[in-house]
Amino acid sequence: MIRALPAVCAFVSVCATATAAAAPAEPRAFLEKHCMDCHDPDTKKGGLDLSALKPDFAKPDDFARWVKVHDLVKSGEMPPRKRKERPTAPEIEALTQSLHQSLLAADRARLAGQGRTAVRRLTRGEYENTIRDLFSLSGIILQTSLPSDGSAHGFDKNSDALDISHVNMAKYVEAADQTLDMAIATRPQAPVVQKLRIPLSRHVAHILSNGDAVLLKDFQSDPNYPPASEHRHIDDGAHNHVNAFTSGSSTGVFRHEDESFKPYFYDFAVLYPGRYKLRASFWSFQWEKGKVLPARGTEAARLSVVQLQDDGRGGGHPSFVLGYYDAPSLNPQLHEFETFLNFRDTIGFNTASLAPVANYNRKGRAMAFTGPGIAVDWLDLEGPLHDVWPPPSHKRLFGDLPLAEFKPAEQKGIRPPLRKTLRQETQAPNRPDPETGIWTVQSTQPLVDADRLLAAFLPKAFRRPVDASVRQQYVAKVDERLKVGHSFEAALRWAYRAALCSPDFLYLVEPAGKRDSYALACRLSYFIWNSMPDDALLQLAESGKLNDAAVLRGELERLLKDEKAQRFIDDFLGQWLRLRQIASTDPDKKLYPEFSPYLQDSMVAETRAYFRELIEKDLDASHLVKSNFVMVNEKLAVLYGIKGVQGSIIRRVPLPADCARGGFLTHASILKITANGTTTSPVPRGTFVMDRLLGEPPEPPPPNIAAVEPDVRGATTIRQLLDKHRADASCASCHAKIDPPGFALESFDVIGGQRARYRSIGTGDTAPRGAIDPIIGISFKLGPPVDSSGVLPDERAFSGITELQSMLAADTPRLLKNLARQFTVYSTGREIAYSDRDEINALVDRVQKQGGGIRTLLRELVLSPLFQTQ
Amino acid sequence: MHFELYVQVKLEEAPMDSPFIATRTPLARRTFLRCAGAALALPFLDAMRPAFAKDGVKIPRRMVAIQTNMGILPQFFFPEKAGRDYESTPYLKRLDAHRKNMTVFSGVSLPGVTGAHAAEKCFLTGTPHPERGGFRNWISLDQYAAEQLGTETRYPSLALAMSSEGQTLSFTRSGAAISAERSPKKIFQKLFVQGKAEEVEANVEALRQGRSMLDFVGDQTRRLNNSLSSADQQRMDQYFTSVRELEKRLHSSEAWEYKPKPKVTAPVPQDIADNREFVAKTKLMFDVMKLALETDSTRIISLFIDTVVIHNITHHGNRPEVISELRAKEEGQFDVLAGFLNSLDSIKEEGQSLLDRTMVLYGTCMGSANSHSNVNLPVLLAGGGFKHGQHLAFDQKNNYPLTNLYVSMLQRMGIETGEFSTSKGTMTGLELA
Repeated sequence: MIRALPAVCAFVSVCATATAAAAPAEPRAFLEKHCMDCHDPDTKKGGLDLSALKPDFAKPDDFARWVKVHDLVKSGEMPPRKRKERPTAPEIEALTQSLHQSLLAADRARLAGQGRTAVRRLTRGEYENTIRDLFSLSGIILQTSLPSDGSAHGFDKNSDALDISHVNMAKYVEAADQTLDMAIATRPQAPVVQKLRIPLSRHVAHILSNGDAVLLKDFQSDPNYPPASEHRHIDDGAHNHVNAFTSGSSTGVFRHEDESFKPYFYDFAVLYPGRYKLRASFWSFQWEKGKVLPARGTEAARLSVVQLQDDGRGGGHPSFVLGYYDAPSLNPQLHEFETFLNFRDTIGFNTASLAPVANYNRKGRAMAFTGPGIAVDWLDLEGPLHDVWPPPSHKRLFGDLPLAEFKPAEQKGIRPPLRKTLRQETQAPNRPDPETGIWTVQSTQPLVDADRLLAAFLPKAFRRPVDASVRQQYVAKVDERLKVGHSFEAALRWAYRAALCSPDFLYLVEPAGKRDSYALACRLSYFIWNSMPDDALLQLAESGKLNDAAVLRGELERLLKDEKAQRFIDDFLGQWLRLRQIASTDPDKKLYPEFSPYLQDSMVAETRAYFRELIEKDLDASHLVKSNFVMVNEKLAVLYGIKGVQGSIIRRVPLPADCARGGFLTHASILKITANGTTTSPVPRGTFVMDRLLGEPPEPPPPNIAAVEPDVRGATTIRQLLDKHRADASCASCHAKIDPPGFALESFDVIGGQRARYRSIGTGDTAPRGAIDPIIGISFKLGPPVDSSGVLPDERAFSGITELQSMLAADTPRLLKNLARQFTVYSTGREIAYSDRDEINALVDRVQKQGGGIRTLLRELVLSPLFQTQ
Repeated sequence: MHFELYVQVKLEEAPMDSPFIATRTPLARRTFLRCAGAALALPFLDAMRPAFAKDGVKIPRRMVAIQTNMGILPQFFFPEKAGRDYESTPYLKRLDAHRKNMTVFSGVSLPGVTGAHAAEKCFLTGTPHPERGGFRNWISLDQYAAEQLGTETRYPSLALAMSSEGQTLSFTRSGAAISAERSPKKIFQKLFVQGKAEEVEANVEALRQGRSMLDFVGDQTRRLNNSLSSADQQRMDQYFTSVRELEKRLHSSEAWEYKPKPKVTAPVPQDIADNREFVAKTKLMFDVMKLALETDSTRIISLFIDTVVIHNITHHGNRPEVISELRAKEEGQFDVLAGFLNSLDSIKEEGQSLLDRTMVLYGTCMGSANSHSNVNLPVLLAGGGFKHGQHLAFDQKNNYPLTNLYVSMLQRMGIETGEFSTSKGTMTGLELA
């Protein structure tokens, strides 16, 4: 160390003046002695020629190479262990210290004079949430019509990923109009509240008539509409005419949703967006050729929001799942909840937990069928629900100014505000309320009101105080509009639209220089809520109290407790663990006939619930790879081989001793995302573990490497194919690091089921049914056995996943450090610079000293300079 | 400076649903321009650019670039033999009618473009390593051409997609994705369905309001810049530029508002919702693309064909029955491509066929979807005025840059450039006709 110090100082001064002199003697000596055998101009092993690598730290490429030299020497990976003459510990210390100081100084010089977090626009998710919160329009959908954002360093919250072009700008203008159309009240009273009890039967008459569903009354077949048998029922119209479908019977459905069967509660399609209350009653039964018997257990029904397109005919409309609802055996269960519905939305149903069956082409139809069914009693729909009128969205824009009818005769020279005639464009029978003329907000002193309203709106929308001079620019435009004959509403709307398209709204602006408590408030709220700060948080920013550590800590806790924190969980996991890609592969139907959308949605729900549990219980980072509990519902429990879990609700279950699960590592979601739907490979899975869970992304493969061609004919395994590939020495060094975790994960198939043998189409032994639903046909075979053993780069051997989990879990600081890095990148929108490393290490140390919990990590991060520096 | 331009338009009023009657009237260019106006609403702005007058007796050249994103089975695509007398393959047989008017490439790929499916967004940009952390895309071939060409058409380019997830082939100079239009019906309506007079007035008023609003928000950056570092000021400048660009586009579409749209007698296409019908959906898109080209509504089109519905069978694992299922789908794709080429070939313009003046690039980012390989890409180029009729075979191990083809295409469009993306020259062996 004594010897190292002068060299360090010399190095710092060299870099501070940003001149590229020759490397000081000491690193050179080390490199000459220990590295140049392989990394000389002739051999250039791994493409690295150290004699050509100049100590010019200002060049990003050279800087990155020096960082690598530092890291590999420090970790002991280089020089290779096999070398006879290894550097001594003090030699290594001296080199890495000297390099570290040089790199640090160069990095600080690079970053000097610019804010650490660049000004950036909102992501489209943030944009939508911000509009939702600003206008209390909790379900308005905007992000799907905005161009997708890029991603940098794993997340979309980085200014490098958030370019803007005229394309984005055009879409922002549209989105602002869409928002204002929905926000502004154009009627004297709230729309009439619809109260409907909707039976499913009328909307699935075609499958009632062919035996894929039956009408039930008092837990038996409805005598007025017997189950379809040798002959299908004909003439839905006549049945409809005698009210067969609206006599209070329940609809027992056997068929799963498919391409030609989309059951919707199509008595209603939303005309007035807003909150709606939904109540539904479901139960399950076993059907035996005409008889209703107790069910095999609790089934799950799915409700979804269906966004009808064009006139709403046919199926195939985009939809999103509202939830899965338990249907207990012969015991109707009531489910009640509120949701926001948009224009043209209707509600869809599915027999989520049932396997696909088709009775329509079966001889004897329903009377010859034995199997499970889900009974739908009805769906109640009530809404739109408005506690006040005009709604909060309107008040945000126009305060308490009265609405009055606009009479052109009395308003000479003023153009009436534009109104679109509301029409029912779909086939649904509900109609708009009668029109009562043009109603609009009235002001007797327009400019005074405009000034007052904008003074309230702009700081809220821009998330910081707004100078009077800025407000005056907006008011001047309102004045200009009024002078050319625009109504008060239209003139103010002009200003609001401009505000929503302005850089103040679209960008997170953090002024350079002194720490700014509004920026801190935004950083916290866009981290935990993925949206703007609420009034309470802004007030703390205004009073300056947010800069107090205890207050900030309290706010973090408050934000985490709010239901909006779910947005953080969804958005962060969507990117960190790539949950956004859950649906990008469809498992092969022959190999994985038991896969279903219900299973896929359960997978995502598990990973989210597990992460929430880690935060709520402040569990430590070893839980990323290992745990003694899982968060599952019945569907996942069956896949995981865990007994005694009933129903669709995800709950915490202790992990049975013989169950090789636990941690994100073995989540079905992760195992599906890292497979391609047909086959698995240790390479992408190993890469996922290295990159996402350990934070050590492997190098990309060199160009022009032939990839391994997967084969599922049953003769060869991926390991055999990969072994050929690994025989090449240039591939072997990287794959020795990448593949081992992937080898252990070979015990799991593409849908996350555990396996001892590969499934095969082609040669193989007859496969036992296992937990696969008896209704599902099995055509796959059992192929070669799985070998899930491996050796870590440090030569520790494992026999399978459980041993690997323990090895990874033992190094908790490594896992914690990765999570700290991921949180930092996500929450501050910037990559981890070299000069952040000491801060990250200090943060990890602080958290470790307090037990290493993940909630503690969130708290210490928010209080750290990493989070608080601009 | 008039030149004759054959367009398949009907000048007289015709009801939209009347049967298709091709009326071939040679029109003076100015007459055509007066007739070929259109009303534009905001959603279509991505393709709008100011029209630069470029009078000159130049042959109008067109470019269509198509990617199907889940690969093309190489064993049924690539001929064995190089040169002019290559033996046709199962897929190329489907295009036999155009053998003399197309070139098949092998041993080509986009240098550095890796990352399996991630490569799909780089098919026309050639930007290396889309799978990496700080990836930022470059400008795409079609947008580069649209940017360079002062075009007289209503739309400098159309970005189209047949996709479920909003993919696109088109990217701006800053790497921002241009969202592609996905509904043939909407494209048809935008191109050919004329708005009523009061709608035109309302549109013009809306465009003016839009411009004045953009002017206002653009000015806001000046104030913000006072408190920002220089790097952040550059980012704010990107916002400012995007606002100005949009304003220019609104200005140009205001001028188009008063010009009537071309009239075609083809019926309005009805969109197909079922994604499994991607071959039929592609055909619908091809039909409307042909109409757009023959009415000279645009000269540059990109089309992203997302075949994610067959993603799992592309991971065929060498199972013969899966390969034959996949082959049937891909043959369907080649059949509709042949239909598109036929339709362009059947339209004559000054004695040449429209195909002779339209480069049709068709290919995929995946050399083998089964192994997620991004080398040895199946690609072909039809029409557009090259000496075609051959199989240009390059080294399978050390691929030839496909981006060189893009430079050749840009030069054929009349753009004087020697480089594009990762390329520094034109394609060896491909000569202008």
